[in-house]
Amino acid sequence: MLAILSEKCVGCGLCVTVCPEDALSVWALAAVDRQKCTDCLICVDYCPVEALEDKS
Amino acid sequence: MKTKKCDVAIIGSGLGGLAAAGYLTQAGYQVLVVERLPFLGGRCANTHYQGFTLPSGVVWVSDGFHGQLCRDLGASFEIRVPKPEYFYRIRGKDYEMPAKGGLRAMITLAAEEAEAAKAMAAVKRSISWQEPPMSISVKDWLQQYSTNPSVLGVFEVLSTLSSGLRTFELPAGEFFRYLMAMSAVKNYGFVPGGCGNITEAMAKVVKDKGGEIWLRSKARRITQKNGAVTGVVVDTADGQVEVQAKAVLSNAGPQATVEMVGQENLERGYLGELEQKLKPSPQIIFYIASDRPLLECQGMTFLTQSRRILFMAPLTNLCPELAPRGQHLMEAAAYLGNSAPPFDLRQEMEMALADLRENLPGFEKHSRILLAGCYYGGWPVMRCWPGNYLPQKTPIENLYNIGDGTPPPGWWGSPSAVQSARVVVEDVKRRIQPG
Repeated sequence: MLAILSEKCVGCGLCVTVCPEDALSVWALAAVDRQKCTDCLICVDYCPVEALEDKS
Repeated sequence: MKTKKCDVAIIGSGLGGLAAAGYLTQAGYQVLVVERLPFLGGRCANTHYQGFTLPSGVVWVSDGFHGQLCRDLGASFEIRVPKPEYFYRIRGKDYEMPAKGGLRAMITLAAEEAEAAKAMAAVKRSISWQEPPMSISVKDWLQQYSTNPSVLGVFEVLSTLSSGLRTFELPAGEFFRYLMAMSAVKNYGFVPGGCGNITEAMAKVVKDKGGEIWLRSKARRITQKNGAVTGVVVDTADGQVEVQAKAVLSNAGPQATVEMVGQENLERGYLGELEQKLKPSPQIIFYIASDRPLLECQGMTFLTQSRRILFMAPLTNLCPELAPRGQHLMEAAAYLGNSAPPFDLRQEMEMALADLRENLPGFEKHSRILLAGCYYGGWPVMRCWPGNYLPQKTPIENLYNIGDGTPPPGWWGSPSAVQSARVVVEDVKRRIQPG
């Protein structure tokens, strides 16, 4: 399951642009809409500061 | 473990990494670039969102600098230079700036005649005679000659644009070194397909000349023997690869380099210097979509008396390719109250939004914010505050840092990454033979 590490996230917004489900948003910090997220984890690969993780 | 041999291994495919790769392959070196992310270019890449092409960082490039870099390497490059390149909004009115003597024009517009003359004389003396000390900030230096907020606003724009630092944080000496360095960086404009096209074109040249670039390949460990670098261990989709190299250039930032070498393998003095000096600089960026242009100009409009907003760039006025048909894209950037954390980013963003509402007629009615991003920490404006001068060389022989964490004096923003690569490439050429 996707986890956002708030101490690492800078809120750059790159994850928002690669999410195929439009499940991510950013306003100073990334946030995930659990209703939309399918845990495809594409965003994990794209996060430049390794703030997104598969927590399973 | 699989092994792979090359002359030079480069960690990170940012503008600095690819510039080094380009120059070294051109000189006959076998080069391997490893990139952790699935895309090329780092903070000089494109990303696509709702039909818009957004930059991962760099948005404004210079034909005189980035264009020259691409011409040096034989990479194809298109830049559109707006006419005029920029406006300064001073006391609510937009002034077109001349290509030459812009600073004089701005100061003259911002202040009364006598005050402007005094400030200009001080600027001139700092350029032609001696730069001010590093121990005084740009703001404190300027206030010896003018306390006019419009004049300070002009210097605030010049300071924050590429460095991310405010005038009270930036050493005055470094500011004048920057003005000197930037005198060669002319004809600013936009890349029609986004700045990622620059790094893509550079990567193509590297590959055409026999260099390799591996994406999704994380440099895990930098290896060394008797104080000299021997290579780098890389995690790839096909397992770990031991890359053997005569030199390793890290474009991942000095902190990441330390982690890859292991603190225990580095001198305490060097680690102390990094701890003291390695500070990233921040900026907030808004991408704004609208059904009509929010500004008429082609280039940038700089604000000299705002709360936070530094510039507004209606990108699609010159490059409609960046937005879906019938829609428009603007980028607006904001500095923060100060550049050292802790930040209250939400409050900073609210202040920037108040500026946008005030300075863009139709902002609330005709536009929506596509994305509001922050650059700092591990994805900053610059990895190190200009003026802090960290060395490109590390205590490990033939292990260098390149990029905006270790720029030469006076170099800021994306040109600083390229310039640090040029310095390192010249040193590599002196020390190491290809083959």
